[in-house]
Amino acid sequence: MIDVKMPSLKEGMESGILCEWTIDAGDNVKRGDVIAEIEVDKVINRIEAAYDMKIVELCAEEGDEVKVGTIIARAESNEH
Amino acid sequence: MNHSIRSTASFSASATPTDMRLVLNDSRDPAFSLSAEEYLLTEKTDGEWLMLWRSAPSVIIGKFQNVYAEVSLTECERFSAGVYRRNSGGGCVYHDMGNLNYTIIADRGEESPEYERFLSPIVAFLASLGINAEIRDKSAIFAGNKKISGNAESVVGGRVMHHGTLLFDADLSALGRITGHAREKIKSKSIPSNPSPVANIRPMLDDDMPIERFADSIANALCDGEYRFTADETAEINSLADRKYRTWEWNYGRSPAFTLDAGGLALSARHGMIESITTDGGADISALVGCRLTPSDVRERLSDRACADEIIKLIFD
Repeated sequence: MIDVKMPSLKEGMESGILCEWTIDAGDNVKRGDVIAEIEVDKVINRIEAAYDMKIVELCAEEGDEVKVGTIIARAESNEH
Repeated sequence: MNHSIRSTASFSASATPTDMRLVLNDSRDPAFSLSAEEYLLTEKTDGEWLMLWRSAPSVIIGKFQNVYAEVSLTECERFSAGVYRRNSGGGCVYHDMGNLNYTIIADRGEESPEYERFLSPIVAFLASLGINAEIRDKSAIFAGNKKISGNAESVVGGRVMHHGTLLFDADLSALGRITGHAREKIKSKSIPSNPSPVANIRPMLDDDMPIERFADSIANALCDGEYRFTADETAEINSLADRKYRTWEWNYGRSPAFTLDAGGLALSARHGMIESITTDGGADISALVGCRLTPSDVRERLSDRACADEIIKLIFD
Protein backbone atom coordinates (compact mmCIF):
# COMPACT_ATOMS: atom_id res chain seq x y z
CA MET A 1 0.00 0.00 0.00
CA ILE A 2 1.23 3.51 -0.84
CA ASP A 3 0.53 6.38 1.53
CA VAL A 4 0.14 9.74 -0.23
CA LYS A 5 1.05 12.48 2.24
CA MET A 6 0.67 16.23 2.38
CA PRO A 7 4.03 17.41 1.03
CA SER A 8 6.21 20.14 2.46
CA LEU A 9 6.72 22.81 -0.18
CA LYS A 10 9.00 25.05 1.82
CA GLU A 11 11.05 25.09 4.96
CA GLY A 12 8.85 25.61 7.96
CA MET A 13 5.59 24.76 6.20
CA GLU A 14 3.18 23.30 8.74
CA SER A 15 0.05 22.65 6.71
CA GLY A 16 -1.70 23.21 3.43
CA ILE A 17 -5.32 23.43 2.32
CA LEU A 18 -6.40 20.54 0.17
CA CYS A 19 -8.52 22.47 -2.27
CA GLU A 20 -9.39 19.93 -4.93
CA TRP A 21 -9.10 16.28 -5.70
CA THR A 22 -8.68 15.84 -9.43
CA ILE A 23 -9.15 12.08 -9.16
CA ASP A 24 -11.58 9.74 -7.38
CA ALA A 25 -11.10 6.60 -5.33
CA GLY A 26 -10.85 3.69 -7.75
CA ASP A 27 -9.02 5.68 -10.44
CA ASN A 28 -5.80 4.40 -11.96
CA VAL A 29 -3.21 7.14 -12.35
CA LYS A 30 0.17 7.32 -14.04
CA ARG A 31 3.32 8.71 -12.48
CA GLY A 32 3.21 12.49 -12.95
CA ASP A 33 -0.57 12.75 -13.21
CA VAL A 34 -2.03 15.57 -11.14
CA ILE A 35 -4.09 14.08 -8.33
CA ALA A 36 -4.84 17.14 -6.19
CA GLU A 37 -4.31 20.86 -5.79
CA ILE A 38 -3.29 22.48 -2.55
CA GLU A 39 -3.08 26.11 -1.51
CA VAL A 40 -0.35 27.45 0.75
CA ASP A 41 0.21 31.18 1.30
CA LYS A 42 -1.93 32.10 -1.73
CA VAL A 43 0.03 29.75 -3.99
CA ILE A 44 -1.73 26.98 -5.89
CA ASN A 45 0.43 23.86 -6.15
CA ARG A 46 -0.31 20.60 -7.90
CA ILE A 47 0.34 17.25 -6.25
CA GLU A 48 1.48 14.70 -8.78
CA ALA A 49 1.40 10.92 -8.51
CA ALA A 50 4.85 9.58 -7.62
CA TYR A 51 4.06 6.14 -9.04
CA ASP A 52 1.72 4.35 -11.41
CA MET A 53 -0.98 3.44 -8.92
CA LYS A 54 -4.65 2.80 -8.21
CA ILE A 55 -6.22 5.21 -5.73
CA VAL A 56 -7.93 3.17 -3.02
CA GLU A 57 -9.09 5.79 -0.55
CA LEU A 58 -9.20 9.57 -0.21
CA CYS A 59 -8.46 10.40 3.43
CA ALA A 60 -9.04 14.18 3.35
CA GLU A 61 -11.90 16.28 2.12
CA GLU A 62 -11.72 19.26 -0.20
CA GLY A 63 -11.35 22.37 1.94
CA ASP A 64 -9.54 20.58 4.77
CA GLU A 65 -6.41 22.15 6.21
CA VAL A 66 -3.98 19.25 6.48
CA LYS A 67 -0.71 19.08 8.41
CA VAL A 68 2.46 18.26 6.49
CA GLY A 69 3.09 14.51 6.52
CA THR A 70 -0.54 13.58 7.12
CA ILE A 71 -1.84 10.80 4.89
CA ILE A 72 -4.31 12.28 2.40
CA ALA A 73 -4.83 9.19 0.22
CA ARG A 74 -4.00 5.50 0.03
CA ALA A 75 -3.16 3.69 -3.16
CA GLU A 76 -1.97 0.36 -4.57
CA SER A 77 1.06 0.25 -6.81
CA ASN A 78 0.54 -0.54 -10.47
CA GLU A 79 4.27 -0.76 -11.06
CA HIS A 80 5.84 -4.15 -11.59
CA MET B 1 11.15 51.17 -25.67
CA ASN B 2 13.12 53.70 -23.64
CA HIS B 3 15.69 51.96 -21.47
CA SER B 4 17.07 55.12 -19.92
CA ILE B 5 15.67 54.32 -16.48
CA ARG B 6 16.26 50.61 -16.66
CA SER B 7 17.13 49.34 -13.22
CA THR B 8 19.26 46.38 -12.27
CA ALA B 9 16.20 44.61 -10.91
CA SER B 10 15.61 41.08 -12.09
CA PHE B 11 13.11 38.40 -11.22
CA SER B 12 15.53 35.64 -12.17
CA ALA B 13 15.84 32.77 -9.71
CA SER B 14 19.33 32.04 -11.00
CA ALA B 15 22.52 34.01 -10.55
CA THR B 16 22.36 35.08 -14.18
CA PRO B 17 19.64 37.60 -14.88
CA THR B 18 17.32 36.58 -17.69
CA ASP B 19 15.93 39.10 -20.14
CA MET B 20 12.25 39.67 -19.55
CA ARG B 21 9.86 40.31 -22.40
CA LEU B 22 6.83 42.55 -22.12
CA VAL B 23 3.65 40.88 -23.35
CA LEU B 24 1.44 43.52 -24.92
CA ASN B 25 -2.18 43.11 -23.90
CA ASP B 26 -4.67 45.89 -24.61
CA SER B 27 -7.74 43.83 -23.71
CA ARG B 28 -9.95 45.19 -20.94
CA ASP B 29 -11.75 41.86 -20.64
CA PRO B 30 -10.57 40.09 -17.46
CA ALA B 31 -11.56 36.73 -18.93
CA PHE B 32 -9.14 37.25 -21.83
CA SER B 33 -6.33 38.38 -19.55
CA LEU B 34 -6.81 35.53 -17.06
CA SER B 35 -6.81 33.14 -19.99
CA ALA B 36 -3.66 34.79 -21.36
CA GLU B 37 -1.98 34.21 -17.99
CA GLU B 38 -2.81 30.52 -18.14
CA TYR B 39 -1.61 30.34 -21.74
CA LEU B 40 1.70 31.97 -20.83
CA LEU B 41 2.15 29.67 -17.83
CA THR B 42 1.50 26.46 -19.70
CA GLU B 43 2.73 27.25 -23.23
CA LYS B 44 5.69 29.63 -22.79
CA THR B 45 7.92 27.11 -21.12
CA ASP B 46 11.10 29.14 -21.06
CA GLY B 47 12.18 32.72 -20.57
CA GLU B 48 10.68 35.40 -18.39
CA TRP B 49 7.53 37.26 -19.34
CA LEU B 50 5.79 40.31 -17.90
CA MET B 51 2.22 41.17 -18.86
CA LEU B 52 0.74 44.48 -17.74
CA TRP B 53 -3.01 44.72 -18.07
CA ARG B 54 -6.09 46.55 -16.94
CA SER B 55 -9.71 45.55 -16.63
CA ALA B 56 -13.15 47.04 -16.90
CA PRO B 57 -14.75 47.15 -13.42
CA SER B 58 -14.72 43.62 -12.06
CA VAL B 59 -14.01 41.49 -9.03
CA ILE B 60 -11.52 38.64 -9.30
CA ILE B 61 -11.78 35.88 -6.71
CA GLY B 62 -9.17 33.31 -5.70
CA LYS B 63 -9.33 29.87 -7.25
CA PHE B 64 -10.83 28.20 -4.20
CA GLN B 65 -13.00 30.97 -2.88
CA ASN B 66 -16.72 31.05 -2.33
CA VAL B 67 -17.91 34.06 -4.31
CA TYR B 68 -21.02 34.30 -2.14
CA ALA B 69 -18.97 34.55 1.05
CA GLU B 70 -16.60 37.25 -0.20
CA VAL B 71 -18.37 39.49 -2.67
CA SER B 72 -21.47 41.67 -2.55
CA LEU B 73 -23.18 40.63 -5.76
CA THR B 74 -25.81 43.36 -5.44
CA GLU B 75 -23.02 45.95 -5.39
CA CYS B 76 -21.40 44.24 -8.38
CA GLU B 77 -24.70 44.69 -10.16
CA ARG B 78 -24.90 48.35 -9.13
CA PHE B 79 -21.37 49.09 -10.37
CA SER B 80 -21.74 46.84 -13.44
CA ALA B 81 -18.75 44.87 -12.22
CA GLY B 82 -18.21 41.39 -13.64
CA VAL B 83 -17.21 38.43 -11.47
CA TYR B 84 -14.28 36.22 -12.47
CA ARG B 85 -12.34 33.39 -10.87
CA ARG B 86 -8.58 33.35 -11.35
CA ASN B 87 -6.09 30.50 -11.34
CA SER B 88 -4.13 31.44 -8.23
CA GLY B 89 -4.82 31.33 -4.52
CA GLY B 90 -5.72 33.99 -2.01
CA GLY B 91 -8.57 36.41 -1.68
CA CYS B 92 -10.72 38.59 -3.88
CA VAL B 93 -9.50 41.80 -5.51
CA TYR B 94 -11.23 44.65 -7.29
CA HIS B 95 -10.18 45.77 -10.76
CA ASP B 96 -11.00 48.85 -12.78
CA MET B 97 -9.13 51.04 -15.24
CA GLY B 98 -7.33 52.76 -12.38
CA ASN B 99 -5.76 49.49 -11.26
CA LEU B 100 -2.70 48.07 -13.02
CA ASN B 101 -2.23 44.31 -12.95
CA TYR B 102 1.11 42.67 -13.52
CA THR B 103 1.73 39.03 -14.31
CA ILE B 104 5.18 37.47 -14.31
CA ILE B 105 5.90 34.03 -15.74
CA ALA B 106 9.30 32.54 -15.00
CA ASP B 107 11.16 29.40 -13.96
CA ARG B 108 10.30 28.54 -10.41
CA GLY B 109 12.93 28.74 -7.72
CA GLU B 110 13.72 26.10 -5.16
CA GLU B 111 11.03 27.15 -2.73
CA SER B 112 7.45 28.30 -2.88
CA PRO B 113 6.14 30.93 -2.48
CA GLU B 114 8.59 33.39 -3.97
CA TYR B 115 7.04 36.69 -3.01
CA GLU B 116 10.32 38.29 -1.99
CA ARG B 117 11.83 37.49 -5.38
CA PHE B 118 9.00 39.04 -7.34
CA LEU B 119 7.98 41.88 -5.06
CA SER B 120 11.42 43.34 -4.31
CA PRO B 121 11.88 44.75 -7.85
CA ILE B 122 8.39 46.28 -7.67
CA VAL B 123 9.21 47.90 -4.33
CA ALA B 124 12.48 49.19 -5.81
CA PHE B 125 10.61 50.60 -8.77
CA LEU B 126 8.14 52.37 -6.47
CA ALA B 127 11.07 53.80 -4.51
CA SER B 128 12.39 55.29 -7.75
CA LEU B 129 9.13 57.25 -7.93
CA GLY B 130 9.50 58.49 -4.38
CA ILE B 131 7.20 55.97 -2.72
CA ASN B 132 8.43 54.35 0.46
CA ALA B 133 6.83 50.92 0.18
CA GLU B 134 7.53 47.58 1.81
CA ILE B 135 6.53 43.93 1.63
CA ARG B 136 4.15 43.00 4.41
CA ASP B 137 1.84 40.11 5.29
CA LYS B 138 4.09 37.84 3.14
CA SER B 139 2.48 38.73 -0.17
CA ALA B 140 1.38 42.36 -0.10
CA ILE B 141 3.00 45.73 -0.69
CA PHE B 142 2.13 48.48 1.75
CA ALA B 143 2.87 52.20 1.71
CA GLY B 144 2.50 53.45 5.25
CA ASN B 145 -0.36 51.48 6.73
CA LYS B 146 -2.22 51.11 3.46
CA LYS B 147 -2.08 48.18 1.09
CA ILE B 148 -1.35 49.15 -2.49
CA SER B 149 -0.68 45.72 -3.99
CA GLY B 150 -2.02 42.21 -3.39
CA ASN B 151 -0.29 39.20 -4.88
CA ALA B 152 -0.70 35.47 -5.44
CA GLU B 153 0.97 32.66 -7.35
CA SER B 154 0.35 29.44 -9.21
CA VAL B 155 2.96 26.76 -9.85
CA VAL B 156 2.83 24.30 -12.75
CA GLY B 157 5.79 21.97 -13.17
CA GLY B 158 8.97 24.00 -13.31
CA ARG B 159 7.21 27.30 -13.98
CA VAL B 160 5.61 29.85 -11.71
CA MET B 161 3.05 32.54 -12.41
CA HIS B 162 3.17 35.45 -10.01
CA HIS B 163 0.59 38.18 -10.36
CA GLY B 164 -0.53 41.21 -8.44
CA THR B 165 -2.54 44.39 -8.43
CA LEU B 166 -1.22 47.92 -8.22
CA LEU B 167 -3.91 50.31 -7.03
CA PHE B 168 -2.97 53.45 -8.93
CA ASP B 169 -6.10 55.54 -9.32
CA ALA B 170 -8.84 53.01 -8.66
CA ASP B 171 -12.36 53.69 -7.42
CA LEU B 172 -11.78 52.82 -3.78
CA SER B 173 -15.43 53.45 -2.96
CA ALA B 174 -16.51 50.73 -5.38
CA LEU B 175 -13.72 48.48 -4.09
CA GLY B 176 -14.92 48.91 -0.52
CA ARG B 177 -18.54 48.27 -1.35
CA ILE B 178 -17.94 45.18 -3.49
CA THR B 179 -15.18 43.48 -1.50
CA GLY B 180 -13.71 43.57 1.93
CA HIS B 181 -16.62 42.43 4.05
CA ALA B 182 -16.66 38.70 4.61
CA ARG B 183 -20.21 37.48 4.95
CA GLU B 184 -20.08 35.51 8.18
CA LYS B 185 -23.63 34.29 7.84
CA ILE B 186 -22.35 31.95 5.12
CA LYS B 187 -20.78 28.68 6.23
CA SER B 188 -18.53 26.83 3.82
CA LYS B 189 -15.08 25.33 3.46
CA SER B 190 -13.33 27.93 1.37
CA ILE B 191 -10.36 30.28 1.36
CA PRO B 192 -11.23 33.54 3.14
CA SER B 193 -10.04 36.94 1.99
CA ASN B 194 -7.87 39.01 4.27
CA PRO B 195 -9.02 42.60 3.74
CA SER B 196 -6.74 45.52 4.64
CA PRO B 197 -7.07 49.29 4.43
CA VAL B 198 -6.09 50.28 0.89
CA ALA B 199 -4.77 53.36 -0.88
CA ASN B 200 -3.99 54.53 -4.39
CA ILE B 201 -0.42 55.10 -5.55
CA ARG B 202 -1.04 58.20 -7.64
CA PRO B 203 -1.45 60.70 -4.78
CA MET B 204 1.85 59.45 -3.32
CA LEU B 205 3.93 60.22 -6.42
CA ASP B 206 6.57 62.92 -6.34
CA ASP B 207 5.61 63.79 -9.92
CA ASP B 208 2.06 63.12 -11.06
CA MET B 209 1.56 60.93 -14.11
CA PRO B 210 -1.28 59.05 -15.78
CA ILE B 211 -1.53 55.29 -15.36
CA GLU B 212 -0.34 54.74 -18.93
CA ARG B 213 2.99 56.40 -18.13
CA PHE B 214 3.21 54.49 -14.84
CA ALA B 215 2.81 51.24 -16.78
CA ASP B 216 5.39 52.29 -19.38
CA SER B 217 7.84 53.11 -16.60
CA ILE B 218 7.50 49.65 -15.06
CA ALA B 219 7.98 48.04 -18.45
CA ASN B 220 11.05 50.16 -19.14
CA ALA B 221 12.52 49.33 -15.76
CA LEU B 222 12.04 45.58 -16.01
CA CYS B 223 11.80 44.47 -19.64
CA ASP B 224 14.20 44.16 -22.55
CA GLY B 225 11.80 43.45 -25.38
CA GLU B 226 8.16 43.28 -26.40
CA TYR B 227 5.95 40.45 -27.53
CA ARG B 228 2.51 40.54 -29.10
CA PHE B 229 0.36 37.41 -29.28
CA THR B 230 0.00 36.04 -32.80
CA ALA B 231 -3.48 35.75 -34.31
CA ASP B 232 -3.42 32.00 -33.63
CA GLU B 233 -2.39 32.56 -30.01
CA THR B 234 -5.11 35.17 -29.54
CA ALA B 235 -7.66 32.71 -30.93
CA GLU B 236 -6.39 30.00 -28.58
CA ILE B 237 -6.55 32.35 -25.59
CA ASN B 238 -10.08 33.40 -26.50
CA SER B 239 -11.08 29.76 -26.91
CA LEU B 240 -9.78 28.98 -23.42
CA ALA B 241 -11.60 32.04 -22.07
CA ASP B 242 -14.84 30.83 -23.69
CA ARG B 243 -14.41 27.36 -22.18
CA LYS B 244 -13.38 28.56 -18.74
CA TYR B 245 -13.12 32.19 -17.68
CA ARG B 246 -16.33 33.33 -19.37
CA THR B 247 -18.44 30.50 -17.99
CA TRP B 248 -20.88 30.47 -15.11
CA GLU B 249 -19.56 27.06 -14.09
CA TRP B 250 -16.05 28.37 -13.48
CA ASN B 251 -16.76 31.81 -12.04
CA TYR B 252 -19.71 30.96 -9.80
CA GLY B 253 -20.32 27.22 -9.96
CA ARG B 254 -16.96 26.26 -8.48
CA SER B 255 -17.86 27.91 -5.19
CA PRO B 256 -17.88 25.25 -2.46
CA ALA B 257 -21.20 24.04 -1.12
CA PHE B 258 -22.48 26.34 1.61
CA THR B 259 -25.34 27.17 3.92
CA LEU B 260 -26.71 30.60 4.72
CA ASP B 261 -28.83 31.37 7.75
CA ALA B 262 -29.93 34.97 8.24
CA GLY B 263 -33.04 36.97 8.96
CA GLY B 264 -35.25 33.91 9.12
CA LEU B 265 -34.03 32.63 5.76
CA ALA B 266 -32.20 29.30 5.52
CA LEU B 267 -30.55 28.31 2.27
CA SER B 268 -28.23 25.58 1.07
CA ALA B 269 -26.39 25.79 -2.22
CA ARG B 270 -24.06 23.67 -4.30
CA HIS B 271 -22.30 24.55 -7.54
CA GLY B 272 -23.80 28.04 -7.36
CA MET B 273 -27.37 26.72 -7.40
CA ILE B 274 -29.98 26.78 -4.65
CA GLU B 275 -30.61 23.27 -3.32
CA SER B 276 -33.07 24.23 -0.59
CA ILE B 277 -34.52 27.44 0.77
CA THR B 278 -37.05 28.17 3.51
CA THR B 279 -38.24 31.16 5.48
CA ASP B 280 -39.52 31.42 9.04
CA GLY B 281 -42.35 33.61 7.87
CA GLY B 282 -43.85 30.78 5.91
CA ALA B 283 -43.62 32.47 2.53
CA ASP B 284 -43.42 29.81 -0.16
CA ILE B 285 -40.30 30.55 -2.14
CA SER B 286 -39.72 26.99 -3.27
CA ALA B 287 -39.66 28.34 -6.83
CA LEU B 288 -36.06 29.30 -6.07
CA VAL B 289 -34.92 25.68 -5.75
CA GLY B 290 -32.63 25.02 -8.70
CA CYS B 291 -32.16 28.75 -9.34
CA ARG B 292 -28.72 30.08 -10.18
CA LEU B 293 -27.48 32.25 -7.37
CA THR B 294 -27.28 35.75 -8.79
CA PRO B 295 -29.49 38.72 -7.95
CA SER B 296 -30.84 38.84 -11.49
CA ASP B 297 -31.72 35.13 -11.58
CA VAL B 298 -33.42 35.29 -8.19
CA ARG B 299 -35.27 38.46 -9.19
CA GLU B 300 -36.48 36.80 -12.36
CA ARG B 301 -37.82 33.77 -10.46
CA LEU B 302 -39.57 36.04 -7.95
CA SER B 303 -40.66 38.71 -10.39
CA ASP B 304 -44.26 38.70 -9.30
CA ARG B 305 -43.55 38.53 -5.59
CA ALA B 306 -43.51 41.47 -3.19
CA CYS B 307 -40.82 39.76 -1.11
CA ALA B 308 -38.24 39.67 -3.94
CA ASP B 309 -36.16 42.65 -2.81
CA GLU B 310 -36.06 41.42 0.78
CA ILE B 311 -35.02 37.90 -0.26
CA ILE B 312 -32.28 39.27 -2.52
CA LYS B 313 -30.98 41.47 0.28
CA LEU B 314 -30.87 38.53 2.70
CA ILE B 315 -29.06 36.29 0.25
CA PHE B 316 -26.56 38.64 -1.34
CA ASP B 317 -25.91 41.57 1.03
